[in-house]
Amino acid sequence: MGKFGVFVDRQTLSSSNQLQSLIRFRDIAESMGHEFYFLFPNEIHKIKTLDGLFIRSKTDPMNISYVASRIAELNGVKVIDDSKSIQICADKINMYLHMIKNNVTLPKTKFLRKSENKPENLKGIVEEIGLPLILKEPSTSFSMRVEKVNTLEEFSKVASRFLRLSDVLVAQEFVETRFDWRVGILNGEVIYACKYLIPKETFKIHDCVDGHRVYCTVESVMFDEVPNEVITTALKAANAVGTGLYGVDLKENAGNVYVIEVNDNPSLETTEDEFYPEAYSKIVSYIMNDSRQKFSDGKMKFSEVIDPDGVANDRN
Amino acid sequence: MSHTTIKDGIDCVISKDYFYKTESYYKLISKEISGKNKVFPSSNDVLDAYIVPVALTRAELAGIPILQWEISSGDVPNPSIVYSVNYFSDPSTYYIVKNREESRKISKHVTNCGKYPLCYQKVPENFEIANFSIFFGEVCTENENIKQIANKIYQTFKIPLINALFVIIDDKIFLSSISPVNVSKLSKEEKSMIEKTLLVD
Repeated sequence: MGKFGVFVDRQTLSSSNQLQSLIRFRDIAESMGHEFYFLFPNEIHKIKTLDGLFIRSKTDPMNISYVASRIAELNGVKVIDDSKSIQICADKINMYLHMIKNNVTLPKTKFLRKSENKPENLKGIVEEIGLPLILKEPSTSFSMRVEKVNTLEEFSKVASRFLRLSDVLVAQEFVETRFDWRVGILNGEVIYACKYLIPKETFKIHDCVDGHRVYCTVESVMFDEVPNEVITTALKAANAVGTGLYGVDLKENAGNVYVIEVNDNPSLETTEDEFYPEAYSKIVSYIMNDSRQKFSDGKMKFSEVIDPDGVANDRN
Repeated sequence: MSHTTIKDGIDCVISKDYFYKTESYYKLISKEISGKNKVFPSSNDVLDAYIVPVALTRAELAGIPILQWEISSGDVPNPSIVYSVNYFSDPSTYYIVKNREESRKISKHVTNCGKYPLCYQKVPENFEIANFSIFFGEVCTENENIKQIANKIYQTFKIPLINALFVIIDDKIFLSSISPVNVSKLSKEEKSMIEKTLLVD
């Protein structure tokens, strides 16, 4: 039994789905015997009085969620997301470098530095990964600052715009699929899986098309319906980042599975976990070190059905 | 722009600015991930140093006297020193608010009309501000107290070049923030100290 806190900000509370998800966390934590507290940014000093902290606000090394994570760590409070996971996942350059180091399969990926933003270099990247290609500003989230470019001219224009925000960008091969797999992983164990069905008007899961927001449809998927290679690749990618909670996005195309990104602070408010009723309690248990609840259901012990040789465990 | 020197198997990346998403920052990341040599400073240390509430928490745990800080969504007591905490934060930029009108105007600006929180440090009426650039723990001053604190800051964050903002209250010195070095604001003495200190290839 202990004090379990959830760090939120005003953006976290902006939708009824998010609010319902937070209330569910509260009810589950309390049913497990923990005291539950919502913490807002101006209550950040109270973090040191907690036994565990779960961050439910947009993470980035430059914003208040990173401060909350570091304050927790510096005071010995177990936290998801830990600062290292935020540092890696919120920054696409850092994340893809970790994936490359750990031999995780990615679409063809190149980095473009500000000092290399010259026509001959852009042409070289296009020759290597083809057109259209996807250009990403490193601190993209919710598909913002991710653009598909169809020509060299568009590439140059978008790159110049993004290079005002970062000294390095990601250029990536475009892999066309109808949906992305999202695999939720906690401490090296799969805790849910779902599909994000990409809106037909766009190539990404959230977008603004003709002034209107379009969102993906979320379909929870039973574990035995997820291809084994999707699971093993997702675990390999998550393990390359750390032992926290991650939502790994993958694409399947022509028999290959590619990791698109590893997200810290993955969304849990849009039926991602519909077929995985224990996902929330597993998160609370992990943070609160509650061994009674930890991975008690045999059916959910995914690591046991996966060939361990296929899973990287070399954490950086 | 940064320089790298390798000493005893440690890559020392020397830059005036290791800010998040700069080429110097990515140089640290890339070296850390490649794992060939140990890297100095670490990307974790530079992130911590440039985020005011994190820097002050770490400094306080290391025994460095700091100005107490609070996070607010907009309300700031007077007088206070105010920093932003968001994607566009730069700890070199701070605001001193002395009255209600300034407080309202500044908090609206740094919170982007309430979208982001801010960090404030309440100060008494009789405070002074002093800025020092610290090079490998060395600082251009005769003040022994500041010399000691500067060395402790270096020992804590291990960043070769850094700027520290101190607040002096009744002859007592408190750390307010750590930020990248602004070369154009360096004194002749500081420039000369860098030349003596740097181990450039």
